[in-house]
Amino acid sequence: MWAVSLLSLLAFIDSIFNYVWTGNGIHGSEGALLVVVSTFLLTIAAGIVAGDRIYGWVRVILEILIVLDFIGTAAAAYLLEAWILLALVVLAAIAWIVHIARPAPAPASNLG
Amino acid sequence: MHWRLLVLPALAAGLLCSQSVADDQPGSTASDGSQAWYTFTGQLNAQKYATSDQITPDNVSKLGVAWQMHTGDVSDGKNPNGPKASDWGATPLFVNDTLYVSTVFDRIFALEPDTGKVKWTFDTKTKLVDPTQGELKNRGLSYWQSATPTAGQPCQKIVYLGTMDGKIFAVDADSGQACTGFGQNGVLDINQWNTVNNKWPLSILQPPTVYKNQLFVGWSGQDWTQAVQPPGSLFAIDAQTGKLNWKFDSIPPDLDPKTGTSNIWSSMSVDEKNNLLFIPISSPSPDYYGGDRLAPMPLSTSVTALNPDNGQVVWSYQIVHHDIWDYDTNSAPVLFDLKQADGSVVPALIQSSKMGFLFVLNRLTGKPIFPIDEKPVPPSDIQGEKASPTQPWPTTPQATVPDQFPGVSWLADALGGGYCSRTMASLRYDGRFTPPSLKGTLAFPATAGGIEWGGGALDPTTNTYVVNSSEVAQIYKLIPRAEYDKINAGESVGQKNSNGYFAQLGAPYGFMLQTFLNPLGMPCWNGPYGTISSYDLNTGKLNWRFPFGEVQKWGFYMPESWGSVTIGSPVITKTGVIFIGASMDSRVRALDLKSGKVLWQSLVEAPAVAEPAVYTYKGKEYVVFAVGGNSILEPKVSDQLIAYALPSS
Repeated sequence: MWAVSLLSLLAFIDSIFNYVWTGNGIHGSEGALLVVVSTFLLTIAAGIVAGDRIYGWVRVILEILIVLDFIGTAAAAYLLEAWILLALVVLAAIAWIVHIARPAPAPASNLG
Repeated sequence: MHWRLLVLPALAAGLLCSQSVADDQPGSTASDGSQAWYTFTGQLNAQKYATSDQITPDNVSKLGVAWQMHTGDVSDGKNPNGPKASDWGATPLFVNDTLYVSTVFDRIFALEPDTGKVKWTFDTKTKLVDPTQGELKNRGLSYWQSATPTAGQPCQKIVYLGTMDGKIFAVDADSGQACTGFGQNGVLDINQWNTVNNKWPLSILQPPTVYKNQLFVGWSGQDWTQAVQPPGSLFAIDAQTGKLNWKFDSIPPDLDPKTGTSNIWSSMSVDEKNNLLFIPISSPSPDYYGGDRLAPMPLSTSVTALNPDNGQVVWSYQIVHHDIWDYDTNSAPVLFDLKQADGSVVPALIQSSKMGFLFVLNRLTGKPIFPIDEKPVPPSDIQGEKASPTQPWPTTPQATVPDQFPGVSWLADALGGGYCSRTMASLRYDGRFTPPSLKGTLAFPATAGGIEWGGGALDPTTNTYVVNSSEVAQIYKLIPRAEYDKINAGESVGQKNSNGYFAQLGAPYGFMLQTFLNPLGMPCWNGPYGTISSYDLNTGKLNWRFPFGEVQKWGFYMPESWGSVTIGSPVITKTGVIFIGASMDSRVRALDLKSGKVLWQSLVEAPAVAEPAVYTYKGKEYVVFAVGGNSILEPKVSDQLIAYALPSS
């Protein structure tokens, strides 16, 4: 899950760059601002999940929100023609799928 | 000048002489023998054709920025104490081994063509106020040079800049100093001739057309504000002195108390061999109600050929009868020699239009070469109005805009909560030329075009014609005067134009013009919203048509299949490359002439609505775009001038 966090952070940095750099055709636009916010939320959410500090239904809701964020940010990046951002979000989604598909760690044996 | 059509004896001589549309105008060739880009449309024949052959479809993908500069003359109009927003559509001129460009702050820049380094600048010191347009507009410069220059004398080569307050500045092309022998100390005020219905000053946005030793000067105004306005006039001026040689009026003088405009606000073209000046004439005022101007005005909304020596009409072809849609003839007709199947050659022109119709005429007689029907069109339901029962309807070449409204977009309708379908149900729509109405009329195509003032480009070796076009639906609504005055109480007639209200003072109706958008700003109709088309003008057949450009909203690019509304025009090179900006997405592109495929694109700072200039200098081919933006497309402005070239090997 730390890979998801790292890729989300990179996506956040890239979206800030897209918002402020004047040479890309989308700088300062509402769409570019939207992905700044969505990648920021993604970074925070992924960090919380990776930190393994929450459990139960709160964690389930957060993971669902992460999925929705992936979909929304990827769609926005596609329409913004922000290809680096799209690649980072897709990679983060792949990392997230790997995280979900990975077998849960076996409970620790009682060596007592 | 009497406007009645005259058939000049010279016409017969013209028919017998060479049909070539080659350029002989002094300055049309650079010092190294290469082609100059010396008018707004590249050449006097308005073909926008570059003989440069270095950039080809095979290597155009390697194109890079050769140089760029910013003039500093730009305004977004947001400062309430500053100038209004800029709208820069100036075609740079490459002539006299120099690149000349004018700005919306009425300055002239003379640049090194290969580096963009400034040779000199000239500041007209014009006040940055807009007397007519709501924006600061400029579309470029004109150039004249003497065929018999006097050695050591200044002003044997002159650059002219027209301003929005109707002044023409003449500047020595070598030194950048005012040509004091022109007008009064180098300045000519055309408003000295604005003596009939002087409701507002004449503005010069479009550079005058220069031919032999004359400048042909049209003008722009405010055709939405009043019913009776300055009548459309064209001034022929001596290039060296500014003396008025003749004046042409498009409106019969007895109608001056009832109407106005019908002016020439766009570029013109010239047939040098046959000594003909072709002028695109706009619609009369008021734009959307003709009940007070029912008398025939055969030159309004027409393409008209004049004798440039005296301003007499040789022929005229009216492309819209009794225009009540603001379908101004808005671009210079492109001249070419049409090759028929039997091997004969017909001197021809093609006139593009806001309706998307393409009129191909014999340029010596004005007679249609391909069929143009007179089709019945819907009547007006407005008291006092009498719409023309028929309108000219070219069947070949195929129009750039479909005859029928393409239907309400389900996506825009759904996202707008059903706004589009509800509005559509409330409008009058009976096809093309449905007259304006009290309930609101759907106009498709509308005054936004169709094809705008850039017009198309032509490859004379194959007679391939390329033109970009928009597909825009707008709502035309007439508002009875008392109701209009209530809605617009306290507003000036000019201010309300930006909100879609057109006062038409003196007419029984005001007017409201709205683009048919949902509350989110999405077009309510199915795309594409802009296309680019190629035609074989020898046969009139369509070669290809594709959606062109991309719509951008909130930074998001819409699908390419939607295309973009465009303002600006293409140019064609000898090697079969089309260069064009024009689209909303602030990109400039190169397309393959044969296939229409996009071969290269580059992002610039705003929509590049100016026609690019293409030239070869010191053995290298350059393509230069003035990137100014246009509020019709996007609220983006810039002062970027950018030149592209292949990398040095």
